[in-house]
Amino acid sequence: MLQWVITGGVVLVCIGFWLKKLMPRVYATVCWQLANQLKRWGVLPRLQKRLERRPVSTGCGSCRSCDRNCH
Amino acid sequence: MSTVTVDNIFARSLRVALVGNPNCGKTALFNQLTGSRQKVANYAGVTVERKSGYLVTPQGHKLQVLDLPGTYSLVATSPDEAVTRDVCMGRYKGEPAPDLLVCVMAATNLRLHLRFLLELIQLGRPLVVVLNMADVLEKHGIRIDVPRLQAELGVPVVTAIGVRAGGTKNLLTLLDAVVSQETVLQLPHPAMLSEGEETAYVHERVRQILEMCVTHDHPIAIKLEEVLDRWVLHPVWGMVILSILLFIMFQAVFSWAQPFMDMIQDLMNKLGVLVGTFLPEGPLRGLIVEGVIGGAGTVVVFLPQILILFLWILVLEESGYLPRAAFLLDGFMAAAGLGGRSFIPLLSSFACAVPGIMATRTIQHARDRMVTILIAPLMTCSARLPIYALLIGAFVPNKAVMGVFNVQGLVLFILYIAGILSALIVARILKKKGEEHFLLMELPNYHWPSLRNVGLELWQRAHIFLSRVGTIIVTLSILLWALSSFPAPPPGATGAALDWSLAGRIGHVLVPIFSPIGFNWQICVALIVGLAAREVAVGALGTVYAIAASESDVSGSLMPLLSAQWGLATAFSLLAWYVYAPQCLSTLAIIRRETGSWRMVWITMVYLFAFAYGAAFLTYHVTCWLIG
Amino acid sequence: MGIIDKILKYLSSFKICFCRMPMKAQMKVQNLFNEEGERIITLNTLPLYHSGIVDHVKALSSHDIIAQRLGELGFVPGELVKVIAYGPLGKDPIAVEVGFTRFALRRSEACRVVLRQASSCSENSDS
Repeated sequence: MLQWVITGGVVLVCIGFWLKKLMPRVYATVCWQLANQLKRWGVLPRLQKRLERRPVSTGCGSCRSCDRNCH
Repeated sequence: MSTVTVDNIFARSLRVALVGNPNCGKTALFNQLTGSRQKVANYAGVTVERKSGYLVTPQGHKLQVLDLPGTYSLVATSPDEAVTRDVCMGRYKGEPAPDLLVCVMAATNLRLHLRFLLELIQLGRPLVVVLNMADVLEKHGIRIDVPRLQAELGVPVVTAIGVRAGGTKNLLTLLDAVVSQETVLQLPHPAMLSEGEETAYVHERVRQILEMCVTHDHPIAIKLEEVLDRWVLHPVWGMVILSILLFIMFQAVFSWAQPFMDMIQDLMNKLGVLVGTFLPEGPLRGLIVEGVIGGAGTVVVFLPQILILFLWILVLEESGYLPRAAFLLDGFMAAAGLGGRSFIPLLSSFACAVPGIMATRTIQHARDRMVTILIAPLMTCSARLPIYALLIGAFVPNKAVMGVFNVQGLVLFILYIAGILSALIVARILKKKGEEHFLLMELPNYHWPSLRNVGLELWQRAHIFLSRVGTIIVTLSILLWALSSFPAPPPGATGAALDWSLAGRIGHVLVPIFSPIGFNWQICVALIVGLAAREVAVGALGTVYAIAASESDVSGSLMPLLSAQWGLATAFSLLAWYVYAPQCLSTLAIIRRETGSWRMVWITMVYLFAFAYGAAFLTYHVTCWLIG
Repeated sequence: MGIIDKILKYLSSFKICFCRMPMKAQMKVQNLFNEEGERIITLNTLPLYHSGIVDHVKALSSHDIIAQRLGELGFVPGELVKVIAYGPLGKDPIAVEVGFTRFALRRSEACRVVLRQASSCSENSDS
């Protein structure tokens, strides 16, 4: 059972990684929705905080050409 | 007289920017100052590389150092130069203005470099001057009156030897003095001149300064360039030397890297097996072994080729030979509308497009670089050979024609030529009408490549490759594994497990799209999985046809199967597909890394897949028609 | 400029250069004349191992970045320029030495550099 959780988790992280790279706006929306959902359930406060913390991109210009992962 | 104190040093560390002409040894100086404490990134919004680092002075002050791209003038002719200009003027968005500009000049060629210094002085920002390569002065019989020069320019001047440890002593002492405000920098006096007067003023001033501060004795050593260039630039001997060097490079990347690559592949396989024995049966095992280790394996396997190619290129670049090679090759590349510097990346792409595309960073011309990157995948890379070997072996008779040529070899040759010709055509198409494409480049002095610099650069390249490309490949590999493994086949099912998975389903869905070019569902599925890398396709075909994975010669077992089940037209169509199709995630990943944009990646994918489909379509139907 | 004068001027330019080939074979015959009717020599017509003194750099268009860059790189009035090599294919590009620096450039770029006088062949160059 644990195996499935771990595997599923890893696959989700990979999907999230690619979502962030290719569709950063969609990713931001998804994060925000997820954070809201977690808040409503009152569960996993740390993860919730992390998802909420989506600072505005500073001085990067456009996410398309930024070398660092778009922040 | 306006003076400036470099204030706020207690609030943050001082920002120093190294600026100067290309070939003044600035990068070596930067390496000497910062050592391994450097970071390579990109400037925001452009694909220009940003090299930054920090140093600690003898008195313990920490300074941030920025190595700006070399430029001949503040009138920029390329994106690199535009960045330098903007950063110096403090108007680059997202990059704070440097507190101190350090103008690095090659002491052996003040005649050329002084011009730029005078331009910088016109900016009116805090500035110090470094006369680099001071060790070569004596050999060339040049003497520079440094105090006089300092007086004439009105800015502090020190000498340095960028390639020698301890050669930056004078500069560090000066920086200490500046930071601790012992030396108060006088803001240089920009002369008030109109546009037209400026060039004449600058030339005259340079002449004045040279006359007063620089004396030429009779040179002790005959200029090395004179002796070497006679041969290196000779139309016949130069080409001979170049051919030998290129041949060695190609051999090294193509064959000599092979044993290392095999060793790494072997190691990764063993690691996979080892890890597999520890993990219990279940999805996690598959994830780690096939997804993570398999993916990481594909990345690491590239390392020998990249390291060897870059070692060669860096040594040639450091020694000053590379621009001369570009000079010799420029005429040949003109047919494709490219410059001489595109040759080496394209040649390397015959071994593997990944290091080849990385090598395009030596091309300064932005458009040339883009075109070279776009056509690099068309050079038949070594990974295509297993596919070609399989298909040619299964379908092309091993006969001799005209007594000398072997039909199989001929077909292989045709495939190579098709790639090259297509590349030429694409390059021609992309050549903008009437855009003047200038070559004008400096042929720098020869000098012995510094192992330290080469080593440092090599380490940086490898590190960037492994971390950036590595994450892309590993995550994609995990996703591909997930697609190929789930849903799992129901117990007692026949046929390959692959057929039941999502990847298999996608393959089946794609069949109507690919049937016009003669692909059956097995090929479609193999192509999906084969996106990971070109070599994977053979293994994937083996899996689809349910050949056991333990079978050592998948290719050999496949040949009779395929020649029985497929038609000739299908086989040829697949061959044509493989000449063009970008079935290599690593290539796409490296394009993303080198160009910094997803647009280029999409463009590459779309145009290559379009070509692939078109070529396969043509081949399939022409072959069908010919067979009758 | 009478036809005879033109022909005479043209013929008088044929000198045998003792290095490699006769000058005629090396020079692409570009009969450019300035207002005074004197022959203009541009860098792309300078034969191998010959040197000349730069007169000026002429811009081919209003915003000619190449002409600008040539000036910045040291092709300034009074500088000595020497052709040190030709490209292997079609003699394009050419490699020159100006001041103490060596450059490679295309003939189409070199034609912007107008020379004052071309000295004779200097196979064994000094300094």
